[in-house]
Amino acid sequence: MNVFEGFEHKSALVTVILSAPAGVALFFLVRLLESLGRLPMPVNVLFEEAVKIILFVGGALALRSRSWNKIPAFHEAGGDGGRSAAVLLPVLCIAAFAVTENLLYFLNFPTSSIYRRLLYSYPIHLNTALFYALAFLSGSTLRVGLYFLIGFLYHLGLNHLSLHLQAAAVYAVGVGNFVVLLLLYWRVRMKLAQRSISSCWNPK
Amino acid sequence: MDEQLLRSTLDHFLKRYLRNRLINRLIAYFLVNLAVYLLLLTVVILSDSSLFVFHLLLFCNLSLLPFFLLLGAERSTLARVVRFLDEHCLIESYLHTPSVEHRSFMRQRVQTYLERRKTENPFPFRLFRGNIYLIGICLLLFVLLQATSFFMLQDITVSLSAREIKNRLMERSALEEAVAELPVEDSEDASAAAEKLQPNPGGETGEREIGKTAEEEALEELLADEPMPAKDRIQRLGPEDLREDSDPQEGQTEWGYRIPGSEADTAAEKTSGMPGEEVGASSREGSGAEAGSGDAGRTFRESPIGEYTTVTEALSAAGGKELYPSTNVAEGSSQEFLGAVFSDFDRIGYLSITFDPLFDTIRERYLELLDERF
Repeated sequence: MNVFEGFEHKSALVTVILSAPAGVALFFLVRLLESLGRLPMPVNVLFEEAVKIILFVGGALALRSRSWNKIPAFHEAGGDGGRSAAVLLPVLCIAAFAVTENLLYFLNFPTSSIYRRLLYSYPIHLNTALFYALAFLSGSTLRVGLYFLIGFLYHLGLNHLSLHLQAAAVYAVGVGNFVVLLLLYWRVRMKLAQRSISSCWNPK
Repeated sequence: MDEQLLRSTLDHFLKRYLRNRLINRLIAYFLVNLAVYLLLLTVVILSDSSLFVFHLLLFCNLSLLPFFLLLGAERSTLARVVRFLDEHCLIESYLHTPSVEHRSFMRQRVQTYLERRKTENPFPFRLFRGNIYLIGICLLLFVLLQATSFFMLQDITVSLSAREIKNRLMERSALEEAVAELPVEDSEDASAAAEKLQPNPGGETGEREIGKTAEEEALEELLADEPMPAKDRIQRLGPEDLREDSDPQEGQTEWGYRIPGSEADTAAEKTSGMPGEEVGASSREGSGAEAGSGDAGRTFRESPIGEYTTVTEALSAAGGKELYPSTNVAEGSSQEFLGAVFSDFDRIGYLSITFDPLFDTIRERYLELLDERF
């Protein structure tokens, strides 16, 4: 199976080891900074999205460095392992960020609303992360800016919408979020595969 | 074949390949969560763990979706596809060569080969081996859950909801508490006594036990032989209860039966029937706490201290009213006995304490049995 097969690869293990603690640390850093001042929701959302995109910028910069591709796990993963890891690491980091947020929410409010958050707010973080992954895979600075704007508006819009929605509607929108997540995931995977094709098509 | 056509053909294969993998990843995610869910339900039944922990662990597991989707099989996806399609490395060599002449030489063969593979459906959907294992694990966990439910909750059709299971567990514990508060049947007591009377392999202890409880045996034989009305009353008496109260008190026989009409009788006892019934009731309450009942630490016997304290409380609450002649005394039912006690000796001649014929019968039969035994 893919998942287990993935864990056989050192690259997957290294990705998890790097991304999960980094995501948790990032969450507490963001909350610490947000707690310094009582900011309105749009500013908080903008701040969160900025932090996310900084992660991708860090991944892109790491990809350009020589030491990144010398990491044995990524090197063993194949010619495109380092490039994939540079995109996947921030996505998994943001997933850990979102899981930490929901866990703390559940510890504070241990109700069944956690499953609503799992379907509604958790995919928001993942979808914006996949948006940015697509942007960075495209390699266009303009597209990065555009996708950042889309990610910010998407996050802010759904946050506002959640304040006015009934519980059933929240679940319905959550299912929609989940579908968007799968579509974005599909797009990212295809992009990664197509880049591999291109690298094969135009060998150096 | 131009580059665009080759790219679109490879894309087509790649999409099929990735679609199958995505479906398998989602199935794996679903199966792992199902397995964890069943496992957690089993743990809830076994350990009565809290719903908070249950939902916390389930939530953490459900949150692993990105890791299922993104991790693994990321390396050289294209190489896998190409090598699976390309039996003789035709496409791979075509893609890897920088030479235009070589590509033009191979183009026709590559095109024909790809068109043939397209019609063959090279990536049919099939479950990954790991998913098949996961289905087996889920089935095992389901059977385990049902077995656990059957043994712990006596219900094989347990609901797959943790809340309902918790409700069932709470109902069961409430029922157990209620049962614990109920008086335990005498049959346990009698069987425990019967076990005590069984001679040991050594014989000595058994004989001693028999010697100690000969009177009780006689009583049992009495109960077994004669289906008298007294049997029903005495049945409620356990031998141990009789032994505990073996010291005859004032106004009582050796077995604790009070002499009817004595001054010790109160109005309440009169109305409730024989005093021995009360003893029997207390014996029923206490029999469950005997050794070997398997309920160490849990008492089934109500403390007699409570009754004693309530008597003093009742007396103090009554404000000395009980010191006045009770109704039966006032009615004169015990007047003769009082007269006999406090009057001159020469007046005792007319007094004869009348025993209940029922007890006389019991006593006689009991003494007969004792004589037969020794």
